[in-house]
Amino acid sequence: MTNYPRKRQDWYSNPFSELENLQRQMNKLFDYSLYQPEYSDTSILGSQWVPAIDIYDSKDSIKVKVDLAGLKKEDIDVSIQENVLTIKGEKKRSSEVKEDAYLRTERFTGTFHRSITLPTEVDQEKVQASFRDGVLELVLPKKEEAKPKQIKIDVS
Amino acid sequence: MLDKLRKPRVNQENIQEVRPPVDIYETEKGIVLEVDMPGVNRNTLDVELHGDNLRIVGTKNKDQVSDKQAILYQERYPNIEYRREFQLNAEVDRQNIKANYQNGTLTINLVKSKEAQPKKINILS
Repeated sequence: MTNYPRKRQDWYSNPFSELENLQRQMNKLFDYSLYQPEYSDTSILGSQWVPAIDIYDSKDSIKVKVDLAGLKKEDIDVSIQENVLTIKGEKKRSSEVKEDAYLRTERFTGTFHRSITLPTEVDQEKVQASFRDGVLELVLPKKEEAKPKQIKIDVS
Repeated sequence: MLDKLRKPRVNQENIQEVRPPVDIYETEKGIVLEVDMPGVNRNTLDVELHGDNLRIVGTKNKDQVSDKQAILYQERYPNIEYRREFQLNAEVDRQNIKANYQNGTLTINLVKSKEAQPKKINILS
């Protein structure tokens, strides 16, 4: 099901933009839990910002992409437990720069935490993760039982 | 430094223009800009100076979504061009601008030109 996001807020230096973003994410959380219970996205309440995420279904695997610019891969924590994928971490500004040296701060920083219930069972041992240019890419191979099986139609 | 405002638009090829968020801070030597632009194709990444106008452009890598794939959930726009412009003031040394793209963040270092740095004036007694 292709579900394109609504018009995304422009990143002007709006002091409420982070609150508005969180509010929209919470609204989305409630929307989604009504229509698509398998993608319940919890733990938004615990995070200061939420990275954008895409989930694709290939025949043999589930693919996930997350926009995490400005992070090193050591700062990102990916884990799976009982078919719930959790991506979390903390994005920090440079520790060498003092608060009052900043003329403008628009980038999202702080802790982030997303937990997603995967639509099918995946093989946790065979998950591949790569992080390039700020995009985290996960390939989660489906368990054999979960792969789509071709059903033969008998023509009699 | 003035930030040029531009109305984002979707052009013919259905590319969404996005204004990337930026952090700006001052150092002793000048000013540093950090722009979050994840997943940009380095061939399309451009930092250009046109007179006083510093322009940053980059196109996001196209997600390879084959026919065999179904999009279950999408928050990231599929086709994005990051674009942002800044007006530099007279103090910036135009010859010494450094840009570095790593982990999805573009860092631009601007230094104050020699003339703009504070000069000590000797007091003759």
